[in-house]
Amino acid sequence: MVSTATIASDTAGGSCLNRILPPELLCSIFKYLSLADRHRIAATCRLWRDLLFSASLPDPIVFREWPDLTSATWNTICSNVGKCAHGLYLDGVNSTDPIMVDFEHFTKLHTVSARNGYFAEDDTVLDDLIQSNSANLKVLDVRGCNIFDVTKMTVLAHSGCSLKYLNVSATPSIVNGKISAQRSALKSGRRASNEMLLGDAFESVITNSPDLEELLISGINVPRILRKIMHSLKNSRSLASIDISHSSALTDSFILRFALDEGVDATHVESIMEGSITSYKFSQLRSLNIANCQRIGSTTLNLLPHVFPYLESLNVAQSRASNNAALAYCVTNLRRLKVLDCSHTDWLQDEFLEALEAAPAGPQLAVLRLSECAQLTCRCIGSFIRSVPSLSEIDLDNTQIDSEILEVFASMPKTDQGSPRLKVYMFDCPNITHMSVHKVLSMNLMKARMQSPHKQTYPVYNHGGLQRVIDQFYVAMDEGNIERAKSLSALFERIGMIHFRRYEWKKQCRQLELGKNYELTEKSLRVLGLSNPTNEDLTIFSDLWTAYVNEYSKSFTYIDSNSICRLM
Amino acid sequence: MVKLISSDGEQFEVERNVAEQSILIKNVIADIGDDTTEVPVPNVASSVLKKVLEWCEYHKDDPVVAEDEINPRSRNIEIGEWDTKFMQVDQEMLFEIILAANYLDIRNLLEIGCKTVAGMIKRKSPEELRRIFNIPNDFTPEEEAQIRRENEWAEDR
Repeated sequence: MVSTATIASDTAGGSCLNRILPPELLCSIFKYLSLADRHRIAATCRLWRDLLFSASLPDPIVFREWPDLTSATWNTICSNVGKCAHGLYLDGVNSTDPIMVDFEHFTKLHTVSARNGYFAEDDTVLDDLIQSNSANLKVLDVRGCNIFDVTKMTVLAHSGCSLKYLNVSATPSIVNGKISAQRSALKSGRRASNEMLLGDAFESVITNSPDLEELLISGINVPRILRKIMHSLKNSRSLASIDISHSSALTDSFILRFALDEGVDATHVESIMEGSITSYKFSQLRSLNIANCQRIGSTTLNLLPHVFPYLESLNVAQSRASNNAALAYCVTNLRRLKVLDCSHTDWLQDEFLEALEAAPAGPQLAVLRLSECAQLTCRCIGSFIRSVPSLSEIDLDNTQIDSEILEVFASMPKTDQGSPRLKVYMFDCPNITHMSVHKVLSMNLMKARMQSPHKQTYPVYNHGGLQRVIDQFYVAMDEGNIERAKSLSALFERIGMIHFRRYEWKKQCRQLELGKNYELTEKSLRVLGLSNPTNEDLTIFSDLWTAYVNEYSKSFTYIDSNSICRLM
Repeated sequence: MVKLISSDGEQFEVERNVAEQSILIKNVIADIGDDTTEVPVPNVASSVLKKVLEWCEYHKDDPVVAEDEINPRSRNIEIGEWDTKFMQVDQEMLFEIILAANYLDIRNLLEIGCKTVAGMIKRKSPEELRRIFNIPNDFTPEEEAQIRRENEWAEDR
């Protein structure tokens, strides 16, 4: 029925909009607003302000949308926003010419973000921003940014910033210690000194930032730099979270040397475990991410509870340790552990979960990620969920769980507000169908969505289109329906390859991180190492990209340019 | 034909291509592989479902726009004449439609709903917005004064 009532501009009574629509829908609305509107309405309430100025707004106020404005407006905005702006997001900026914007107005920035930025080689915008805001700068996020190198790092080291958050993950010049084209032309022997300089810069930033809480250097591959960083960590009193994931430099012996002084060997690990030797304790660290560090094994797992005894969050996804007992030892001895990510550990077996269940104090986990842990049985996961009352979120993407587990979810106790207390992810579970989820869970869990829009405690159930395309392709092949198989194969060729490549990518992931906001353009293809792409390339990439973002953005943050080239 | 059951138990029988504008329902039907089953829609009340299906019925023959043809950064908040009229409902219903479109995964309807609300927000002052949407002011007077100072430039546009 069409109500003829027009939109009331004055609705007295009724409930607050913020209680009706969840934050992600408010963001979907805000993205249609202009910069000026966004700034004005941020004064409405705290939630709006936080949403409007957070980077999680799907279309944040970022540089790339600005050049559409006329230069006069540009200058007005720069001088008006500049003097009061707290954050500048240059995420995904894509510019082969140096950015000629007058940043002298920006003097109050405490957040500078240039995630996946692709700048001209000689662009000094970042140096300028760091230098002119050194007193306030708290957050610097240059993840995957092409020009963040030793020069910028040195500027940062000498600027006297009181950083709280520093993200230099996946910046090619830093994590691989590469020298930019200009610099490498100078002398071939520069590489080593470049690494030294970088190491010193890190040491100085870590040591001289008394507020530094979070450091992200994912992908760091140069042992010399990592050693310097690990060494200077001991000087930091504030660091609570560190991300050294995807590092080929991090090894068991690195951790052992961190725990004890030089001159130790593997026999000392047992002594530490027995308590006859006391290791160095880095007791303020709360969060450690060592996902996909392929060279760490059981030794590290055994040492973690002794070296980082108060960890609350641990990420060992894609670990190759292949030792259920060691992981169980690690987890049960980290008494404060709340968040554990063991995704993509295909060696994880039921005995691990059983050991956790059997631990004297019992696990206090709130969040457990087990996606792609194919060996775990549904029965064991179900029993674990039932016996760990602290659990509030579990990720079971692409596991062997079947409809049986849905009954476990359905029988779970609810919170006082009647919403389910367990948030479940189960994308790509081959034994679970939409219908079974819909039938068993919808009445019990889905309703909670309406009652408590902010909690987002509804189960996510989506198989993902990729699996469907691939399944349909096999069915068509089996049936000998070549026409259909052919028509699917076009899609299959493009997106299917991702599916098969995913394991390979996990091993190789390096080089380049592509954020969700990344736009596929000729320039970004060049970043990926492809020259002169044709229109067809762009189409294929855009398909690949959509599929990648939709299907695998949760599990993969890296794409290796070589694997993409091979896909073409 | 597909039979949909709203949260309050009302049945709606619609053509398959109408119902399948909802990706959620499309997936459910694909799973059962048979469109004669009843599909429960436990999150949507009959009054809202009726409205949503009216939209789906009108738009059932719309050409499918491929994902990459849509410019996600488009700031254009203009919507078509029929949709504008369709969205002339009371505020409560408007939000219910947005929630339903989000739950049922009907992208175009969600977009139109969000654009409609964005249109209501445009050029309004924070006071007006608090009144229209019943949002309590949870800033301290100092904070509010500061935000105001920072955003002065945006006030008179």
